Amino acid sequence: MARKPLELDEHPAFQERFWTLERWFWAGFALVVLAGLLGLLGGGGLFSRSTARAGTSALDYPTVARWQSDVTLELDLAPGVTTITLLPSLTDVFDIEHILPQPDEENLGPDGIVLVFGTASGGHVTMAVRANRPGPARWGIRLGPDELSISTLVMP
Amino acid sequence: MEVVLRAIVVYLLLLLIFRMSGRRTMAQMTSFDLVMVLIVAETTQQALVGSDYSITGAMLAITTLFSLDIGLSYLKRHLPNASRVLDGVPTILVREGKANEHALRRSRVELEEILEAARSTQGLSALDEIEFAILEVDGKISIIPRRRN
Repeated sequence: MARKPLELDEHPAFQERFWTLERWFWAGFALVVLAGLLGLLGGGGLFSRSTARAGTSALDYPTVARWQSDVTLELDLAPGVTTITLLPSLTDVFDIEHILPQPDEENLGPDGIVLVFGTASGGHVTMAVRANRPGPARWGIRLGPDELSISTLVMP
Repeated sequence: MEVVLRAIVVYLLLLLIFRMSGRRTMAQMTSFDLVMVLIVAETTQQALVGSDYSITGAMLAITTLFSLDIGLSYLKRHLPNASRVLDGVPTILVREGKANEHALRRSRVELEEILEAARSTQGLSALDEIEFAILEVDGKISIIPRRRN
């Protein structure tokens, strides 16, 4: 008895196109991994942070952060600079987790939260912050009298 | 709302990555693949619920995932093209005892895997005893033996 033909819903042209599409996606996977290694998706890496200067004070900040993940703002205060003002644009984007060393005073001023540090000889302040919404964010911080305007992309 | 959106995005992202990584990736569960699945599950969990550890959040996420699955099954039923894209199509790897080298290479299947399927499912010992070897949409290999005269 002859065998019945194979009842199979083959779509060779579709399959061929899909295999090609798969290879493109594999290249995309490799690019995602590479972007991750370079820090383009946040979480550390060559391009994940940058430094902005205000006079001789400096702020090391994340250029790319991740939503609901902690990142740090590293501030080098020049001698004589004793205040840091967290402008509302900063506190809109980031929740402040902790500040080291603790400021001597925290005052609510007309331009935002003013942190006052006791020493006038400058120093290093670390602020751990957490992005509270994804998307591009523009925020500001004032180191003494100098204001910095910063852009951070918050990845979802 | 956030949990529902997270569940939708994670579901679609996993669907895309699994689909585009090829059928063979998940069909053949070696012990290392099992580790991969566990890691993917663990990694996904945080993105799925975020910092919401409530039962309501978990219930919402699970219900969203199941609803998406049911929705997609309806979509596949009514749109054959959707089924093709989401599940793939079966591929003939061996026809009348001859291997289709191009299909084997493109679908990342080794000839040895076909012979293994032939041995384990049909008790066949050689390639020329296979009428058809088909890579099914779930990644398994079906073997149809040749009929002897």
